[in-house]
Amino acid sequence: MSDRAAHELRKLLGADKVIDGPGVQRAYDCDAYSIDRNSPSVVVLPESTEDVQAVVLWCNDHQVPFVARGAGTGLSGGSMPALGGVVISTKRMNRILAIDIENRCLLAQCGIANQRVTDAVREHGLHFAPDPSSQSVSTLGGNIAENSGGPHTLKYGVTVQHILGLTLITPEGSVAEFGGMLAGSPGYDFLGLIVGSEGTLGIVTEAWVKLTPLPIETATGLVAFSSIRGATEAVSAIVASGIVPAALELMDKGILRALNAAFGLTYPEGSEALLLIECDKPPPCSPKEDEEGGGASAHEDLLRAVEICAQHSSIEARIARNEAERQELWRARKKGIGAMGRLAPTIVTHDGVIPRTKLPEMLDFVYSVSERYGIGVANLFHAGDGNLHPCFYFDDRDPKQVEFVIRAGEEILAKCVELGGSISGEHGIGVEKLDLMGLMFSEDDLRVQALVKSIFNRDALCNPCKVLPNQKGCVEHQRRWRGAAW
Amino acid sequence: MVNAILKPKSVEELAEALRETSLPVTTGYGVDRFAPPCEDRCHLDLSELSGVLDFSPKDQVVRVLAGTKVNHLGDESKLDLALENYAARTPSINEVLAKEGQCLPFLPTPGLDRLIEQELLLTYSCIGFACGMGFPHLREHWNGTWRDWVLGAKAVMVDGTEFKSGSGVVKSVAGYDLHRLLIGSCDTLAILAELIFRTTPIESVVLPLPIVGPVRAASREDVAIQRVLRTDFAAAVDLAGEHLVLADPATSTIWVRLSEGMELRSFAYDWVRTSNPYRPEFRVDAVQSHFMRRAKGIFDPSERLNTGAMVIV
Repeated sequence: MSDRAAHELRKLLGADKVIDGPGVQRAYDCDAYSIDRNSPSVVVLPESTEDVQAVVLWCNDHQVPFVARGAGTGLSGGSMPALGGVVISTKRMNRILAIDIENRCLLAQCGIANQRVTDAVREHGLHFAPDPSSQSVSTLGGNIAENSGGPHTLKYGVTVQHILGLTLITPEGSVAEFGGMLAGSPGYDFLGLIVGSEGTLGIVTEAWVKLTPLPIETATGLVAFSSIRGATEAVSAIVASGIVPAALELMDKGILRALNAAFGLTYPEGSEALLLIECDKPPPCSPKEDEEGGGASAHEDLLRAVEICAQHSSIEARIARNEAERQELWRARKKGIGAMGRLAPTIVTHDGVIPRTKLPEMLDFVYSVSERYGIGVANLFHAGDGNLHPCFYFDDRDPKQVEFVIRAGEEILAKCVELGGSISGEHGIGVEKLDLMGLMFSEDDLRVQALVKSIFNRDALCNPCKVLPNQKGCVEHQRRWRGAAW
Repeated sequence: MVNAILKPKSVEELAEALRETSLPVTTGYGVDRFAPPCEDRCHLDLSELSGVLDFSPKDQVVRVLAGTKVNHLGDESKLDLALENYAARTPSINEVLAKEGQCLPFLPTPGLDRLIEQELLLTYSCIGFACGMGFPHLREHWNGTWRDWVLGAKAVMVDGTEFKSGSGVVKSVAGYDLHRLLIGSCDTLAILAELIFRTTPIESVVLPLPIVGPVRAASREDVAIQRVLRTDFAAAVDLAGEHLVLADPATSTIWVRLSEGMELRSFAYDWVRTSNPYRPEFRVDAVQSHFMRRAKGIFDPSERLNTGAMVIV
C-alpha cells in the first residue's frame, strides 16, 4: 500500500511533495505526545489549498485515512495517524496572503508559525493574541485545530476569539469557506465549531485572523512564595479583587529545580513557588476614552496584585523596570518545560482545568499521586485560568514507568472532573484522553457530539479515532498504539 | 395557529413537554414576538424557566436558566403588558452578580432604548433569547460576543433528549463545542435550557459610545443589522440616512429600521441579518446554507423546531 500510495500521490502532486520510507514513518508516528504511536504509509507536503484538496479527494477515492499535521507540537496525539494512511503536513503552507492594517485582519496559510503572524504586523502596533508556549514553531492550523490558549488567554481569550474566517477542505474533499474578514456572520456558528475540533471536521488550509492592538502599557512582576498553597490562594484573591491580569503563571519547586539545573537560574532563599503576574492596558478606542483615562494603569494594577500576594505568604517581588527586565522575568516561564529535559529522558505534560479556587486542593492531590507512583512531577501552569499542567518526568524505555504515568494522569483528570473542572484546557482529547470523555459526558452527551461530527465527517477517513471514544474500528487499535511506545 | 402554550419551569418539564407533543414547536420568552409560518404548533414560553442556579464569585462563573433576565432594563412595570410573573420576578443575573461587583457585560447602554422598546425590551433581556439569537451588541468590541462568554450549556432536542456541552470552568477544549453551535441558532437545532457564563468585574466594562440615529425601532418593527469593514463604516452610516437606528463605530455595525421595499446597500465582505429570523432578508451564503441544511436534517429530521427560522433552504 505504502509504495503504491506514494507513487500515485507523486503523480498527483509532483515528486518533491511526497516523502516516504522507514525514516519518514518513524518521524511522523507521533506528535509531542509520544506515548501512543502509529506509522503513516506516506507523508505529503502540499503548498496550497488545491494540493490539499487533491490529496483528500485521492484518499476518498481509495478509502485511505488521512490526518493533517502542523509542527507536531500537539500534546494529546491529535495528529498521530491512528489508522495509518496519509499524513498531510502543512509545513510548506506558510505564506501570508493578505494584510489589512486598517481593518485589522490578516489572511495566512495554516502552516505559518504563530509567532510569524505577530512579527508581520508588530510594527503597526498590532498582534495575533493567542500565544501558546510553542508559538515560535506551532502553526496557525494547529492552533485552530486545538483552539490553543497560552499565558495571555486570561485576558485575551483563546484562538476561537481571534479567527474571523477560514477555508476548510471537508472530509469529502470539497472547499468550504466560513466567516470572512468580519466577525459574527449570520447562520450557525460553524467556524466556532470547527475551531477546536482537532482536525476531525476537515482540514483548515487558510484563515483570516483578527489583529489586536498591542497594549500601550505593560507591567510585569515575579513574586516568590514560601508555600505553593499561598501562591494558589493569591491567584484566586487577585482575580476576585476585580483586577483583570493579562497573565498569571505559576511555577512550583520542581520547575525551579529544573531551571536551576539547566540554566543556573536562582531564586530567593526559601522559594517554594513563583507567580508571574502581568497587567496591561489597551490603547483607548475613542478620543473620549482617551480624555477620561480609562481606569487604573497597568502598573497600579500590578502593585495591587503584589500587595495581595503579600497577604498570602509571598517573600519577595521583583518588578520589571524596562523591557529587558520583563523578558528576564518571563525567562523562567518560557524555559521551564525545556529545563525539564535535564531531569529525565521523557516528559509527559498533562492538562486539566479546575475552578481556580480549587487549586490548593488539586495541587495537594497531584503531589500525593506523584509520590504514590514514585514518578517525579513539576508544575508550571496558567493559574489564572485554573489550567493545570502537571509535568511527569520519567524514562519511557521502562514500561512500568509509562504505565504509572498514564495511570497518574488519569487519576488527576478524574479529580479535575470531581472538582467541577474539565479533562482538557488546551491540549485537546486526541487519543490520549479518549477513555476519559465518559468522566465528563453522559452517553446522551456523547451521542449528540457524534451527531455534530456527522454534519461534516460521515465516514472514518478524516483523522479517525480522535475526540470521541468507542468509535467503530478504533477500539481494537488502541492497545497497538500504546504498545508501540513500550 | 397556536394549539397549546406551555410554560415549563424546569429543564425536566421542558424535556417532558417536547416528548409529549408531535406538533411543530416554537419557542419564545413571554411574548410570541415573531409570526412563524407553521399553521398548527405548540408554543413553549420559556420565560418561567428562570433563576440563577449557582454563582461562584471567586471563580467568576455563573449558571442560569434560559428564561432568566440579564437585567431589568428600565421600569418595565410601566409597559403595557401582561407578564404574569412580573410582580414576583426572580432577580436578574446582573442583580445577583452586582452584589459581588461582577456582571455579564450586557448592561444598560445609551441608545439601547431606541433599539429594543416595549415588549421586545422584555424579551430581549432574557438570556436564552439573547444567546439564541446571538445578536451583535454594543460592548462586543471590548467584551466579546455572547459566544465568548458562554462556557457551557444544557439543551434539549426536539425528541426530549437532554444533553450538555462545555463545562463550568473558564477554559475547556474537551469534545466538540456544541454550545457554540447553539448560540445564534434561534433554537432551530435544540432548545437552550441552561447556560454557564464567565462573569467579569463591573469596573472592567467599558461604556460604549454608539451613534444614535434619527429613528427608533418601534414596537414590532424589525431592524436589519449590517456589519461592514471599518473602511466602509462612514459610508454605511451615511447611506442608512433617516432609517438609521444605531451605529457602533467599534465593531462597524449599523442597525437600520426595515421598511417596505427598502434595500440595504451591499459592501465588500459585509454581512446582513435581521432581528426577526423569519424574514427573507436574513441572509446566509450558499456554503453556510448547505451545512445548515445538513445540521438541521441531523438534529431535527422531522423539521418541527422553529421551522422557517433562519431561512434554512
